[in-house]
Amino acid sequence: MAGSEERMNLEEDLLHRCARGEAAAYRELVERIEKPLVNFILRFVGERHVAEDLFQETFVRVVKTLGTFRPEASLSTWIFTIARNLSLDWLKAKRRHREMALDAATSEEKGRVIYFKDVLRSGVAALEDRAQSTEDERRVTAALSGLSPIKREALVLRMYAGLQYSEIARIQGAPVGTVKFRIHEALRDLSKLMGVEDDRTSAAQGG
Amino acid sequence: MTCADVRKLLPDLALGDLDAEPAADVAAHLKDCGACRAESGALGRTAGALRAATPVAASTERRSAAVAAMARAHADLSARLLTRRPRAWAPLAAAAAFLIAVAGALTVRAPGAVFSLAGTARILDRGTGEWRPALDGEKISVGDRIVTDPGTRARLAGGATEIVLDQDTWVAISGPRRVSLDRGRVLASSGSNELVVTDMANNCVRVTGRVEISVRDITSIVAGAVESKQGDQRLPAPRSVVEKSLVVRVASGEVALDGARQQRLRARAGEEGKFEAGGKPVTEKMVDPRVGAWVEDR
Repeated sequence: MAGSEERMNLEEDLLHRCARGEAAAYRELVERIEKPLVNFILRFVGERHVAEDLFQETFVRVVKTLGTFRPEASLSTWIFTIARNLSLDWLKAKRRHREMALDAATSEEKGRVIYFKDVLRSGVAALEDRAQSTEDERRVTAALSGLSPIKREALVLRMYAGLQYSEIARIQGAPVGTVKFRIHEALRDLSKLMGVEDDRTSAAQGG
Repeated sequence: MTCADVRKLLPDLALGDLDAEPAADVAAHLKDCGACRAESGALGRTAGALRAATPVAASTERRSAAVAAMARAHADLSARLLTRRPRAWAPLAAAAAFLIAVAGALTVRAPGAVFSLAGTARILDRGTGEWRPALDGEKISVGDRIVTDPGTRARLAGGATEIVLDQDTWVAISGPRRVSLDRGRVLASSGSNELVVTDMANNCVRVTGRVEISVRDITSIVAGAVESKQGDQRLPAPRSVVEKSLVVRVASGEVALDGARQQRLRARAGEEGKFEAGGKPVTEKMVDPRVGAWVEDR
């Protein structure tokens, strides 16, 4: 298709100028992708200040690894892959950290049952940027954090980054069918997670 | 359709990914089935809540911070590669190979000479990273950068393509048929093959014919209101902004102007095309129809 060839030429040219260190090219690259990218990272990791850091780190990584770009992939797919790997690393580090914290908490609070889900939810609430998030935002962020990372990633890439199934498949390294299944499952899980909260709210209001 | 069939399609329906025909079948089933209707409602509400969560706007500060970080990363990379320490040359050689791969960038699939140079110019030596005088007849490859100083001119010829560089002109050869013009003026003649000339703002000119291309300063006055978050408005003093713009004067053949924001326009012989500050291409009739007269000047 002529359109996609044109896009590839433009992208190649842009990366070329980035490789030469042109600030205008950096700016253009960031402008091209910033909105879907920052929304993807934020919904994926769930914390605003972390998302900001990861956003910046993604572009630094882009500069450092320009030589590894293959024109077969689209520029956005490549950048999303970098962002996703950085986000996954951060989520892994966070989980290790939280597991250690959980061990400490449960040993201190003997006799009291702590549900992992509640710890998770309070963790998200504590770290959220409250000043800027509405109630809906909070609910969505909390529910998203209850999904498995792989399902959350697929759903967020679809809903907030607006990527096609085929692009998500490339990023996740999975067949399109699997990606579709993950997104469906994510929506079902999310519906349950948010439904539970609805029931609780209405029970609290009723009694 | 059974309940199981319908349930499989409900997430697609909620996400708006279902085609009209199966969507109609599902709707017919939902009319009669309360359980599936409840499930569909729950998924629809969930998808709605996801959509309602407002997308985060990309802030100017975040963008500037990212651009600055990229520039630092590039500077670090270049500094590391250009710092020569005695002894530890083996890893540096690997690093230098990487630098050439990066600087020569992505189009260096077929290395080798694409042009031969005549006239007086300087070339960025890849071995030392320093500018040096180019030799007459020197072979120019993809990734090379060439500048002419005030008072000098040079000619690049390769196959049917010829590019004459006027004085004080900076170009980079970014592909076999692709040149980046950062400053100055060139007279380009492409053969039957298209030649692509780009500028630093990613405006792009595709040439089939004989054209004069220059980078000019475009001064625009910016004036207007600024609304802050607090709701108060203030009127900043008008300021003038100088931006570089690619200007094309077509002597023969045809030129396609691809703006940085996907707009596209064609300019034909006798027309002049340029990019406005926002990257939008415009064309107009040439006032002075002589193109590239400076080449014959001397």
